[in-house]
This record gives sequence, structure tokens and C-alpha cells, in this order.
Amino acid sequence: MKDRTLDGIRVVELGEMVSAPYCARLMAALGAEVIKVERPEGDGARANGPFPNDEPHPEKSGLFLAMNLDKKGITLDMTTAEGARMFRKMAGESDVVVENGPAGRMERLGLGYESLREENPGLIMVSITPFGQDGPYKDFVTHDLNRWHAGGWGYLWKERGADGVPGRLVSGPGYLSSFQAAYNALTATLGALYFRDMGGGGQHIDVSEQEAMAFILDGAFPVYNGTGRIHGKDVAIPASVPSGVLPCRDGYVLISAIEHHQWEGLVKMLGEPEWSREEWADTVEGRRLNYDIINAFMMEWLEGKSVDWVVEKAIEHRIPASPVGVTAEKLHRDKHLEERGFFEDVAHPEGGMLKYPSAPFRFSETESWTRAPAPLLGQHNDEVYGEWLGLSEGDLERLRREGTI
Amino acid sequence: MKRLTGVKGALVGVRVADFTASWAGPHCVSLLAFMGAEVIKIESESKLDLGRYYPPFKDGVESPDRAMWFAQMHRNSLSVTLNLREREGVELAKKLVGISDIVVENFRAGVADRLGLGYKELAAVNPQVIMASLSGFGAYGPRSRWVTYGMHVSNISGLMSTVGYPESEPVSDWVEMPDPSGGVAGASAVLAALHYRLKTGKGQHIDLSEEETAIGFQPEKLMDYAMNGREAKRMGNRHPSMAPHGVYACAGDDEWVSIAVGSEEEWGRFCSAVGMEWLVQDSRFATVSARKENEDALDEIVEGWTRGQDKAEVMRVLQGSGVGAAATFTNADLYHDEHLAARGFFTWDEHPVQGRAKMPAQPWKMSGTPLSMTRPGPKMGEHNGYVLEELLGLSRGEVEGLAGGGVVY
Repeated sequence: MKDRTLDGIRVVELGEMVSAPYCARLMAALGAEVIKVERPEGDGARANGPFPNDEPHPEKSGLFLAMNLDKKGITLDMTTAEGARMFRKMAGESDVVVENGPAGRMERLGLGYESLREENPGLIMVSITPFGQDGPYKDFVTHDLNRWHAGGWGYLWKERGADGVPGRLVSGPGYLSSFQAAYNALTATLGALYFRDMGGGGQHIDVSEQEAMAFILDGAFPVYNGTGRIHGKDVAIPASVPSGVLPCRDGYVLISAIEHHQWEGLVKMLGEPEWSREEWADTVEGRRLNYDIINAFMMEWLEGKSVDWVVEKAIEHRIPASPVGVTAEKLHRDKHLEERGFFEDVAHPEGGMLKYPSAPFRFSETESWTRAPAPLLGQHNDEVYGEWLGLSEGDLERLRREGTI
Repeated sequence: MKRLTGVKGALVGVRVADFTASWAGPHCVSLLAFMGAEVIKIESESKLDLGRYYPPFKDGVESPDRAMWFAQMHRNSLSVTLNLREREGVELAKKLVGISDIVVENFRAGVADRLGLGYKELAAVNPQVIMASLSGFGAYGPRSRWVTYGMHVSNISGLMSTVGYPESEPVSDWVEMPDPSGGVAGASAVLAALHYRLKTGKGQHIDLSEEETAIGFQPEKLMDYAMNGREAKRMGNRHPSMAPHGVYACAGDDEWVSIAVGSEEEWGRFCSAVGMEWLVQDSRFATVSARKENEDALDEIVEGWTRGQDKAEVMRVLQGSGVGAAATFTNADLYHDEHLAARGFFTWDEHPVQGRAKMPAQPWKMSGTPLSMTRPGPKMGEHNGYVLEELLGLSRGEVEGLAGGGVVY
């Protein structure tokens, strides 16, 4: 067996739902030992579906199972003095703590970074919140929809209204800001790990989902700096041509021809229509201003053709293109993903055998990811508390009775 | 080994040879540069990075050094111009790889090999090198040679399949999130490999797929299919188990607020906050399933309240009562936002051609090694002297000769 990239790194996760759990799940995939600490009632994701046959069950949440692969799971009530002490001991002997509680929660529990580092100066702690650890919005309550809009992306995804009138806004699916923040947290943590490996100390990392999304707003701030315009407001003239989703016989296709050779490929694919010899067709700007001529021709050309045929033809002509509306079924049956081994079967004692998306990276020298199911609630209490913290069976029994674990 | 001075951050001393263009790759290396790595961008007039001719331009005048998005994304980077279509250009690039820790590229699959810059060749020059190949679909598999942009990866990964309203056309245009998502995923993989290299001395090659990054962002959809064979549907801004959950019009033209109510307690708080306590008693809205059933009527009531009010005020009022609400922030709203200002999210950049401009200062905060902006986005070939003469040891005359011969170009 190959080495694992983060072998020997120990991570304690205090995570709910997606952001911190996914960050820790990626570390686990990379080979770190991740101990997930849940409150005695369990991570809130356990109450969020999907569930088999829509029957809620704390061990069968599809979201929980997918976010927590490869981890050990323990329960702990950190609001008790003993619970907080036990957490402190674990943080003292770990490399990384990942958490996504409300801003200031760790300090209120007496477990803030400054306090934890007294015993473990090399500790790296990463906190993921909707708006960061400080500032006027730090205590705002949010759902995913709100974070999507607070980060500036909510305004950008919209229907193309008739005659350039902005259409209705439409939001991203699921938990996109949390995922982006999870990768930011991972990258920052591994940067901090390098610094520590080189002889530096540990540190606290503050990840805001709003900032994670605002940071990747493409040209939004350059546009404002350069022109004072609202990015994404003017939908009258599309950014690329052909533009928008175009109907075929059996669905919709998206085609773009931005670079010069792509445009040449498109003209060739369409059989060199008359307008392609017009002077305006030579420049990106000219094509944008005459997008209606191009789109109208495209619609006629696409009529009666199948999406797959059009995408294949476009790719042959080196034009970026894609089918719209790729379903979960299509992904599960996709030949490309199958050849790359992307979906993996993992058996879970309660959830059964299910196909999970793995990780997006493959390493030539080290194992690319690991493959253990998500933990049952408190599954590793005995192992972690007994073997690591050295608690006796009597202690464990008492802690269980008192509801601490 | 020679390094730039005055740079701070967690990755000081790490050198990155950057062969990327467009968005995913530049985003990846910019994160490393923000943490203090010395990122050297290898670029050429012979195949200009898309970002160099992507609007807006300073004063609307199109030129590579006036491209404003490019300048923002390449802060802290150095630029050396090398024409990789010339053998000597490739040789010099390989020399640079020889004194680098990390190589990042996002050529189409197969192109790096064809140029003589594949992992095997680079590992022969520098056995400890970590090379990351970022691509739309990964380095192997039937789609690996497809030309693509992030917006297509958005489709092919299924990310957009549930975006839009049930009764109208799907929405999928210019939605490029997989680029920056793949970029940061690539940065994390590189740093994991760097940790491994410190321990073992071994470099390696990383194959990163943007498509797979984006598929990983959809567990609720994929697990529902795996468990129940069910496909998620387009729902506009609605949510399967929350109501209200939507985007509502506010005062002004094209101004909106997002409101999401996730529990019965939140519903009660919402009704009090908007001064419509009677709603709690209304049987049409008494439970979440009743609210889902009567969601059109509910949305009308909610929008009746938001319409005519300032979106920031709506956010403040609802947040004051502990209800999930956020204004729909535009670029201008973020630019002037008091919260982001208090957090120091923005900084002013002084660019020799483009002048002063306000830009995001950091994607996250680090207490021990704060991220820093030490230099503006580079002009084309701005650091040819440092890279070719100081690092690679060429004489001024040699560099001039190579420039005349279209190699340093």
C-alpha cells in the first residue's frame, strides 16, 4: 500500500452540517486521523436528508454519510466542565482543530485559541463561520441561501429576461458557499502546517463564507473600479457569443466560442453562413453586439438535432460545449467518471452499500483517498476515550450516565 | 538559493513555476502567492493568457498591461516572458523548474507532454518537484482532451441541473464557479504534497479535475439518487423543507433580499419581526408543510412587506430578531459594505499602469502569518531581469539576444 499524504496528522473536528465537516473529510481522505466530536444529540446533518424512503433516521442521512467518510466519531458535551477538560486534552495532543460554531463560542467555553495554544503552541485551529470572527455581522443567523446572497453570487445567477430586462434571480443549489469555504479552510490549514513544519508556531485561521465567495467574484471588483457599473446587471448584451442555453430536439446545449480559433471552428461547423463574412464577425465585440443574428441562426441549425450529437460535433471542432441538465443518473453511468474510478462503493452498517463521490485529486506517489464509512453516533467513544485519554471503563460508564458522552 | 526579500507569510521560501492561464490555475497559484510563495508566471505574447485580453481595461484601452481583472488576480506574482513554442524557451522554463518547489499548469491534457514539460521530464530535472495539473476533466479518461471553460464544467458536473424555475428554461450561462473551486482544491492538494515531501523528500504529480471538485459539492442530490433513485428538480429559490425560502423584491430597481426560515421558532420570530403576528395563527401557514402547500400566497405576503423597503434595512430588522436574511449584495454593495470594511477585506492597490484600485485583500485571515499584498499584478515580462539573469544566470546580452530571437517574448 502507498503512503498517505497526511499520515501522522491528527485532527479534531467540531463540525455541523457542511463547512467544517467537509474540510475535515478532505483531510481524512488525504490520510489524516480525524476525530469528529459531536454533541450528544449528534451533528445537525443527521437530521437533514436525504433519507432512504424519506424516513428520517440519525444514522441514515445521505448528507451526513457523505460529509463524514473516513472519520472516527465520538460524542461529548463540551458545556460541562469535564467535557471541556476532555476536549482541551485532545486539542493539546492534536495538530489541527477544525470548527464551525458561532463566532465566539469556543472562547465562551473557555476553549478559545489563545487558551488552547498555551498547552500546544503548535496547534493550528481553523474556524469557519458565515461572516467571520469579528465585524458587525458576526452574529447574523443564516441559511445557505443567505450566505449565497451575502457573498455576491446571488445577484449573478439569473434568467435572461426578454429584451435585456434582467430576469428573475435564481440561487445555487445546496451548500455551495460552505464547500468553497471548506476548501479555503483546508488550503489555509495546510499552509499553516508547512509554516509549522518549518519551525514556526501554530495559529488561528478565520474563514468567512461571505469572503470566500466575494473573493472569487471574477471581474466584479475590476468592473466596479474600471467603470463603476454593477457587475451582472446589464444582460442586454451577452458576455460571450453564442449565448445562453439553446434548444435542441431533446434538451438544451451551451456553446461558447470566445477565442479566435474557437470562433473559426464554429463558423466551419455551421457551414460558413453568409453573415460570418461580415466585418463585425471578425471581433468579439462585433459578435456580441450582433448576438441576435448568430443566436437565431444557431437555433435554426440546432432544430431537430440531439444534444449529444451537437456536443460531440462542437468538441470535434475544438469548441467548448456542454449538455444542460446533467442528472445524477447520468453522472452515475458516465463512462469518463467510471474510468477514473470517481464514484466508490462504501458499506455503512446502517445506511448499507452506497455510491459516494470521492475526492477530485489523484496523487502519483501517495494514496489518493481512503474509504471508510461515516461513524455511528459515538461509535469510537470507547476507543478514543479509553485508549487515547486513558479513561477507565468505570469513568466511561459514569460519563455516559451523566450525559457527557 | 536566491529569493526575493521583504516577503512574509506561511509559504516564504517556496517557489512556484506557474504555467497556468485563464482562471482555475491563476486562482490556485494566487492563493499560494498570498501566503508568501514566490510565484513566477511564465507567459508569452505568442499565446497570450486569456486574462490579458479580458475586459475591463484601464480607461477602456485594450492592452495586456491594462487588463484589470488579470492585474487583480496576479497580485504578488512575478512575470517572465518565455515562448514555449521555441525549444530554447522550453529549455529555460525547465531550468526554472529545476530551482522551483512546485509547478502548476492547466494546459489541455497532453499539451504539457507535447511541449516537453510533462511530469517525467520535469522530474528528471528536479526529482523533488511537485507538479499539479489542473484541468476540466482530469488527466485521463474519455473527456480529458475536451476543450472547455468553467461554465461547461458547471453543466457536465450536474451543478446547474437544478438551477432555474420549474416551468421555464434552465439557467446556465457564464456560471464559472468550478474554476475557482478547482483552483483552491488544487492549492490544497499541492500543500498536502508539500507536507509529504518535507517528511520523505519525495515529489509527485497531482491530477486535479474541476468536474470532480464540482460533483463533490452536490451530496444532497447524489445521495438521494443513490438511496432513492430520485432526481432533484429545479425549484427557483425554494427549498424542499423550508418556507419562506426565497428572494424578494425591495425598494429600488433590481434590489433584492434573501429570506430563509428554517424552523417553527424562526417562523414565530419572523411573524413578530414583520408585525404580522396573526400569520402564526393562520392555518395556511401553521406548519412547514402547510406553508409549503400555500407557498405562493406566503411569498406574496412576504414580498408585500419587503417591497418598498431598503434591502439593507430588511436584513437589519430580520437579523435583529434572529431570522435568516441577507441582502442580495452586488459588487457595489460589497465594495461599500461596513462589515467587510471592519474586517479589512479590501485593500488599495497601486499599479504602475492602472493606478489605484480597491481589491479584496485576502480570502481568509491567519493570525500568525497574515496574508499580504506585496506587489501589484505584473506587467508582461516585468521580472525577466530577476528571473533570467539573477536566478538563471544569463547575461544581459544573452537575454537581449533571446528577446530578438522571439524566445524571450
